[in-house]
Amino acid sequence: MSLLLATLWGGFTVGATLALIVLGMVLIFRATDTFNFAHGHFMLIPAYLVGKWQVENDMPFLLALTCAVLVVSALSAFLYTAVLRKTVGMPLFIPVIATLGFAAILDGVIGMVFKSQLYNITIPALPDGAVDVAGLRIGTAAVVIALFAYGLGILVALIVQYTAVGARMRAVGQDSMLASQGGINVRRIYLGSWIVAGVLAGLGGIAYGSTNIVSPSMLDLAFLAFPALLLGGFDSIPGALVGGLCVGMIQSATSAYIGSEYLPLTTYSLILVVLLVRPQGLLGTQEVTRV
Amino acid sequence: MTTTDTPSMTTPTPRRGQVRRERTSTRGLVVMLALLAVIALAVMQFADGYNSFLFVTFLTAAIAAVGLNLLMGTAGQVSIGNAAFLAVGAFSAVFMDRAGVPMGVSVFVAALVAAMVGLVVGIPALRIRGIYLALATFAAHFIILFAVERYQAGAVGDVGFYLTPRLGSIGTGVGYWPIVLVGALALVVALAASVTSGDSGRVMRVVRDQEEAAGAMGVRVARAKLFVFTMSSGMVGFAGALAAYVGGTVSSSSYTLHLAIIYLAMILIGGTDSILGAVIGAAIISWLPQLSGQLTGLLFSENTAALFAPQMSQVLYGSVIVLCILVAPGGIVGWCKELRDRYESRRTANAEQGQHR
Repeated sequence: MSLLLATLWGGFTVGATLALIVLGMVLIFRATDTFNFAHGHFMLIPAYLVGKWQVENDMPFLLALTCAVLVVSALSAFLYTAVLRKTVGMPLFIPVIATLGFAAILDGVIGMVFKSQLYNITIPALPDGAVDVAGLRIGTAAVVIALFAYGLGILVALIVQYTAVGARMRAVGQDSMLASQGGINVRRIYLGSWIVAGVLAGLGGIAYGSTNIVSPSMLDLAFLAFPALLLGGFDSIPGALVGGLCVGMIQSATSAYIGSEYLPLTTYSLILVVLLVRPQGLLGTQEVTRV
Repeated sequence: MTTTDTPSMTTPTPRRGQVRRERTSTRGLVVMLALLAVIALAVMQFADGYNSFLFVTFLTAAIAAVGLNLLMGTAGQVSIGNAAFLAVGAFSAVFMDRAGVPMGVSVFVAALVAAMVGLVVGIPALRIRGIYLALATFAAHFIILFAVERYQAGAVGDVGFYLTPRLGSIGTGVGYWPIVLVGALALVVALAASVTSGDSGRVMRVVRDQEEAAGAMGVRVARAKLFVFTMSSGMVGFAGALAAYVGGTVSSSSYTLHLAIIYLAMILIGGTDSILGAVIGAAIISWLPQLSGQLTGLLFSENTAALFAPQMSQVLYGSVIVLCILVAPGGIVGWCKELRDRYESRRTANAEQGQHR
């Protein structure tokens, strides 16, 4: 019983970080119709920065957080403005490769700046101690962080659904030409989507780094985001939360019951199955090809 | 939200008034191969160990790049599974080597094995396209590598396999490999050229550009896709097997997603849908680590160069990819064609102006 609970809890927490990453990817996909293969690095860099500044420079957490968020916003803005805006109208695989190239650059830079250091982020004002749930001890901090991540995701979903800004975003996503004719600044919406996506990823990374260790292996989480993205649906914001949670659970269950060597197998077989059976995911919109 | 599928999946839209040019002529390819053969002979005579190793690495990469270009450039099927197929080829070669099969046979059998795996991977491609296909090949990469890792773990563990050197290896010098590999490249180039020209080439290109229209016209789209997946994976597997024999060691840890990205970069830089472009791209990318080492040494210090060589080369790869997309999305071959077209149209315009005077 406690194994089951531990599994569920593990899935829940991983799913929280995944949900934030995938949410960002959904926003990007709705904006520019591409995957961002550099998203994992958008998650890793702020976490590394906060960790480094906290540990080595003794910077107060909020300051480090703000600066890290600014850095990742600048990175996403740069990627969108300098690179992806130029690839409009180009064949599909080119923007994807552009993000891959950017990811390679960030990989190299991270390796050189942070070398093989590991960091642990401490978020002040988090409750200490642990809770006892049906025989399983859970750190209270972890609970708060997981709830925060999901809460943030739900907040974004609500904003997109019910506010004026959200309405504009949805309009641009549905028909950008018409939206621009209607007076919506399409480029600004795209830029905004990219920046928000980067910030979400960064926050997810920082949240993860506080309950785990900040290290390059965090990038594996970003790879997990793809099945979650697919499962939830590329363009569905609630789907991001659902997909993240599901994949987190699957990961956790595989580690617990089958063995963590089989993780790649289950995760990626899941992708293949979803692609073949229901490519639009659970909550995404189906792509209809008209002749 | 329903969207109509964008027609062109991989070719850049031609500028107004320009007809899309023919692919590199057979003559051009023969010249390229002859040049490489000459270089190979020179390398075998004069070059030192490091440079000859670089050359043979380039040749195996070129073979794989030609295969990938067939799949992505000509047939428009996006695939990030390249590293996985290299692994399939390499590990099949290893398996047969351990069973005592001679090298001449095992490289071709390895190619066949990779082709079969490619066929299986191609089956999802019948139903999914574009970005979904990229994801599927992404998943296939991890699944194939999982299988390969289990095999290695069961047999020899992390240290990887060793293949008995034939024709020379890193330790004893490259021996006859340069010219043998040029021969192998010639074989693959000939195959690719024949498949991408004429009717079969047109079929692949129409499947790439207008799949629905192709089906409506009576083109056997499914058959074309499966064919190109099989052929392309076979070529890549062939390259992987050869690389295994040249390098002497095979370990699953060397077949990373990063490697697949490097091959994508080769196609991008050389130019899509161009066999010559694939070879050029392979040459440039193979030379890049040397360049990155020297650049780091220049910009920072020799120490930094040694310490951060892999990271610097990653930054360099990434920058080359991004720059190429911004400046020359058609790759080198596309850029040259554009220059030639611009020159010719200017000549025609001048001639016309002269006539009206």
